[in-house]
Amino acid sequence: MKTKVSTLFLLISVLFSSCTRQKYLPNSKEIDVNQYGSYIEVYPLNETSVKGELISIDKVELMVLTKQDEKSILKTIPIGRGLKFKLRYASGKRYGWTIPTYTALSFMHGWAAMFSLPVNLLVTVAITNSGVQAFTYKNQDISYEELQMFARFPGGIPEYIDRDKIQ
Amino acid sequence: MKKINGRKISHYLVLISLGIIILHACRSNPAYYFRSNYKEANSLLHQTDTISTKPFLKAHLKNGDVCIFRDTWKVDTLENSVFGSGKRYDFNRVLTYEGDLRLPIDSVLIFETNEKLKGTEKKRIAALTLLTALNLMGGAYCLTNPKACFGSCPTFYVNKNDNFHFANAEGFSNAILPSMEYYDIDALGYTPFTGNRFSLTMKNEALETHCLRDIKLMAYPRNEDQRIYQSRKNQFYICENNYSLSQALADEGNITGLLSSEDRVERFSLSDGANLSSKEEVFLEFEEVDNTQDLGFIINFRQTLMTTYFIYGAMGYMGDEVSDIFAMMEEDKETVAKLDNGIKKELGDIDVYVWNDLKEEWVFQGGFYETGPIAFNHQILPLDQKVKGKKLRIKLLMNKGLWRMDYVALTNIKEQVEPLELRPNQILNKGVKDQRALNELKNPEQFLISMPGDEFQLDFELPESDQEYELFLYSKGYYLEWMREHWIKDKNLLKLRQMFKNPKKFLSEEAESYKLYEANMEQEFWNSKIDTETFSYYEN
Repeated sequence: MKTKVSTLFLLISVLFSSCTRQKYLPNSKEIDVNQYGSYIEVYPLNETSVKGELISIDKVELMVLTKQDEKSILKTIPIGRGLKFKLRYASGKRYGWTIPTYTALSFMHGWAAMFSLPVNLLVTVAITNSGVQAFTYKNQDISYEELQMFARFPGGIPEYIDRDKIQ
Repeated sequence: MKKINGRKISHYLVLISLGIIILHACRSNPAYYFRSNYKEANSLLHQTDTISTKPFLKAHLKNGDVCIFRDTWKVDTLENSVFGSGKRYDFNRVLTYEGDLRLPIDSVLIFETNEKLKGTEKKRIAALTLLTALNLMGGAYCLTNPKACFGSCPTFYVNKNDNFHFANAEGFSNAILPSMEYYDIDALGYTPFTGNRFSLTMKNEALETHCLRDIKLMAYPRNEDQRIYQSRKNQFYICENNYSLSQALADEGNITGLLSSEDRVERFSLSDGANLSSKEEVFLEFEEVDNTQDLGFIINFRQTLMTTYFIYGAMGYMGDEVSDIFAMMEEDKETVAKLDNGIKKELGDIDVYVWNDLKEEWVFQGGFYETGPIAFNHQILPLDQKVKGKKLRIKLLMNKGLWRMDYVALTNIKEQVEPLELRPNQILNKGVKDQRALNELKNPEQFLISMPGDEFQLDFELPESDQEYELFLYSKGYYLEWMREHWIKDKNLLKLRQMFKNPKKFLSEEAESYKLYEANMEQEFWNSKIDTETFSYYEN
């Protein structure tokens, strides 16, 4: 039963993770004309994760514009050891549809579905996951200095901007 | 609600995890170098002048605004400004201006350029293209050879983890309609087990609905030197002694090695390309028959896929009228007789003849017949022939390309016996006790319905735990083949009529097309393993 639930959860999460899309993220062909910062998920040690648009980053902290009860809130996360993050700078193509489609195709193969079904599942899940993972960097891929380039304000938030007014 | 088999899920889970791991391992190194930031206009000019296509320019202003210039932007070194057409956004990225822009360079905090990302989906699309091609090839094969890809009937396993290549029995293969319901008895062969509890797993491994009225285990106690064999007429004989084959000859030459032992290495022939009802002969010799009294000829055999081909062929010829024709057949009381006198009669049995030295002629003894290509049938034919000396010659006359034989031998029949009949005392469905299934099997008015992917474990209790038993399986019921959409295109009512009314002509005309994929079909069948999605009759 546990295996069934975890498999179902895995498949559904792969399917749906390919559906979550941030409005401010451009597709890969429009990364040069996008005015917003990239989408970031930050996992501070012993704290809940923060997800949203990367607003700025310096040597001390990074600021993320996140949504809370439909309101935009600017959250400051101190940079320290063990801080993990995942940055997405463009929306990946969605390939979630390939999982049910190719699973269904397998049943055209009769007995040979025993072979084609796992192959189809393996490849489509891999492709879907690869689509989801495309255009992302993790903390091990990129330095904080390089991360600055993906912020809305790569040089930091100008002093005379009221931070509470950032939307 | 669809059910998924736990073991298969684990396999798929492992495969999926492997895929994700492989994918992670194969990910190319991150390429964040598509984006460049410049704090000075000079470095921007120097580094963008050398590239052939000028990128769009993003200017992050000191006041928090951002200007995005199209690829026509220029730097005016005299006025120390950057200009071109583009858009300007405020710090909340609301568009404030669109058109010609000119910015003093000292108002810009950082310039940003981005290279266009090219071929980002190339690998994924290539993988999908390859996968699509493989699927279409597989699909096309099954569409053109549907009979090779689908079908079977209830299969029974002593070891539930076996696949259909090792099925111990298959039930009522001919009962494709309720009116054709019959019982079938299959020898389970030598099946060692401990204690007095015996379990058998029944699987539905095809796109069929199986309706089981009754299942019984038939058991007869035996000692070490004895075997109990079943005849075609379902008479049971306790036998002693076993006389091995000395020589077997067929058209292709000496086949003694193929028929001497129960090793699943079978002798079979290919059909005649000119006529599917062509016959062939196999000659057997037994030279050391010490006791020639009450001899019985034992054989392990099963069919090739020829009859499966005819069943699915017939359904294909019915096309979209399959249900009407089945309903008609169901109402016709002579359906069974018509079918028996059709192709089945034309194809015939494995006929057994014994050489009579005195008359110098072959004398007919009887025949073997059992539909189904999956499980081996282990049967005996009592011989009614006086034999001089210790040598016995047997001739088998059978249809070419229809039978697979694993083993032949002679034995002495001691006496006819009646085995015990035991009904299951417990049924497990996916490991859980299923009282309803048990009640349905106990009630002769009800059917246990088994849908594709279903697996039932049937537990039986034998009278004594320290006694060896010879076991047989009695199964009674019928099954309904699921019509496949792609079979409908094969509709040919004239061909169907010929199949029933003039089987001789049909077998002759069909030979060419059957030969075309006979070899492929066999290979496909024996290299594959049935797997179906799980459907549930009860949860719908």
